[in-house]
Amino acid sequence: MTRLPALLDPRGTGAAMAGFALLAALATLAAAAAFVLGIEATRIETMARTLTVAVADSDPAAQAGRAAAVQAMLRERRDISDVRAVAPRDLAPWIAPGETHPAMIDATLLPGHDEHPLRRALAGQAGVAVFHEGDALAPLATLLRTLDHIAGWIGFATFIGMALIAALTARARIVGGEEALALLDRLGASGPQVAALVRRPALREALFGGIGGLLFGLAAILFIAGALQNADVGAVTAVRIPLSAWAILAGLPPLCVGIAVAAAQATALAIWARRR
Amino acid sequence: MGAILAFETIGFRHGTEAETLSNISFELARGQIAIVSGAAGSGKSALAGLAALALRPSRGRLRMFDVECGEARPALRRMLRRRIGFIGDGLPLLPQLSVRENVALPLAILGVSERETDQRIGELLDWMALTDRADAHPEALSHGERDRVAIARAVVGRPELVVADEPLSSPDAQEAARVCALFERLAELGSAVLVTARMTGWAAGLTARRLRIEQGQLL
Repeated sequence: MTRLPALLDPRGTGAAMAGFALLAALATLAAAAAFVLGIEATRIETMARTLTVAVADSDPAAQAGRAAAVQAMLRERRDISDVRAVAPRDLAPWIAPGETHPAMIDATLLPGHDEHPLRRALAGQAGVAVFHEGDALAPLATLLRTLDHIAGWIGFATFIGMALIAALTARARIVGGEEALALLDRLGASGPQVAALVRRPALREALFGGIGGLLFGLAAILFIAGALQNADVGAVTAVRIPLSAWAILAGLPPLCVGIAVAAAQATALAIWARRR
Repeated sequence: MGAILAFETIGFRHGTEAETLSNISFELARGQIAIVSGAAGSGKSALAGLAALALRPSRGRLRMFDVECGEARPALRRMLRRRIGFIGDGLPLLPQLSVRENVALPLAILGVSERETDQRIGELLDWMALTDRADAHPEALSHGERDRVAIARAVVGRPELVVADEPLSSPDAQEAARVCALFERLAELGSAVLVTARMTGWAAGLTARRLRIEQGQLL
């Protein structure tokens, strides 16, 4: 089928492409930050909800039996999501070989539950102590979760920005191409045919801008990851983006194109529909 | 022969000004050619604009292709315009396109295949003696050549109604004969042709219904 030629002035291509690249880079960084912060926040939230139950008995066999009973009791509780006996190798840095020590059990509370019912349940048992050192990590977990949400919102805002760039560029082209638009109107062109005139440049600009921005963003991520790994950043032990997240990042240019094309076409159709 | 175009007591005014056209009633059937002549300011261009659905009547009924289109919505008017070929000042050639591309525009809008587009444009440019100018841009054309390109663009889609408002700016005998032959050929193929012109001597040989317009009224 014969297509309408490029009737609209292509001015603004460079600016639109640079805008898409900038926002795509920002979206890449925001998405990567959201992934990493989300993973870290979840890990530290889990640590903050984890209590350690120590079971001590002078008879090692009796200690093992009581520890097993406590574990069984903990697994029955509805406010606990995970129960795990601390392996001797995990205690190795603190306990000398051959030294006797209590049996240690890590119990992680479900989100939204506090530790007091558990403490009350274990209070009457001799030789059982409950420690909640992870509680000190709660503010850090809250901070990371907040930063995770902020990164998500920044990512969302970049997509709004891409839609705005595409819509404003399409509008400028349509207004600048009034002579051609008036002719198409008189020849009976349909809305989708006019939308196609802004779709092609929007697609090209968003695709090249999106790929450029993604590459720039990935380079920035690798640089930041390297810098963080070389630094001692305490609780944030490692910056690792899972494979699935890399796949999502690779999907940013198509998403950028989809948003740009949809915004450009919607703008063209709205302007065309208002034309009488 | 059914009427392709029917004006029934049509009136037209620009804004709040006095009526440019008053009580215009006439019909144009399939295969018919009508020439409306009149002095400058008599309302010829308004009549052509109404027939090409570029203007809306202020009163009266305008029917086209059996559709009431005086108050039709923009989308319907655009659909109807695809069946009309308009020649006139309101539709300039686009300077950024070549002759071939300008002529191909209506075919792109109609969704005609590239192969058929090439074939139709080749035949038409040959008919209009524009084959050598196919790749030229409008600013490189003479007045006569621009007129012929505009005519070619108007008829390439084989419209059911051709509205030609002063189709020839400076007709010479050869040009006039070519355009008259084209209009007659279109009428033979079933199109209705409405021509408005101040001077109609160039169309003297055309078999057509002849109307005169004076001060916005058909005589």
